[in-house]
Amino acid sequence: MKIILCPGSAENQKFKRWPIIKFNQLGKELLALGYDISIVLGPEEVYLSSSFSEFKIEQSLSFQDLKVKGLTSNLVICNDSFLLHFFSFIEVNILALYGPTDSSRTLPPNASMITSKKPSSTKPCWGTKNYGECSHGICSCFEGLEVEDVVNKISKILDNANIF
Amino acid sequence: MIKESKTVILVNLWGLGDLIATLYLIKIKKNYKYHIITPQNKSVVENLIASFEIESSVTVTNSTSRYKLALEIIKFVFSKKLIIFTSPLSGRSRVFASFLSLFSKNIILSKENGNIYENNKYLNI
Repeated sequence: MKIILCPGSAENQKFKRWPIIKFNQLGKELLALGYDISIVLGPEEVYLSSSFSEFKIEQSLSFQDLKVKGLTSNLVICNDSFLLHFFSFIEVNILALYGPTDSSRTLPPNASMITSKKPSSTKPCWGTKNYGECSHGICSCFEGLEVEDVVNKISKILDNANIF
Repeated sequence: MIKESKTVILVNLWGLGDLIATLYLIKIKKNYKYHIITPQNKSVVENLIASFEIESSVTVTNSTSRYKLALEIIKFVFSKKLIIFTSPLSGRSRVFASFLSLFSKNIILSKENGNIYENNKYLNI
């Protein structure tokens, strides 16, 4: 089974990215489980390729090539980013990782989502003065969303997909 | 005689990902021609639309200047075409859209809250 990981988001919204180190760990776990993993990076995210040296990387694909890539995959995993909306539009099976933004507001109709279950009175911070103000560009709204949680969610999605 | 479909003006002043929620409206309401007004790069938006193989006729106007975009929208207000400010529509773009809607009955504003795809799906063209 082919799974695409999209660890990026717009450069001015890096805080919407699940930590890169966790994306890397997720990729390794999925590889160990036998999945065919590839990383898709946008033109502004090429510098992230050094964090994924052990994976197949597709950089700066045209929209047409992205579409072909998506339609030949079993699942795409991404942040709340352009690629979430792009892949959901072409009706690819997709799992979105939500941190600072509100999935009830932006989740596309055919997409699945996961967010941290850690209780927080400030999550999601979208629409507040704290939005995008976290230190080091890593949003605390992602704290508690672990690789294991995402792997379990992926298994459920792929199991459900196989029923049909 | 086949009645020519009317052209609907869609305004979205947010990012490229958000614009896809506007394209979703076009995807599900196929019986119109559309003209999109956006701050995003015109050729990028046109390539995006081409890759989605959208059946409706869609043209695009863009500008990174908010004043030029405002003028473009006002031009369409005078042409009495139907103008829809699609979701997401909040902040300054909502203030601007609300102000313009005071002068024309042909302006529709999407809801501010709720899911942006659902908001656009239930816009009454």
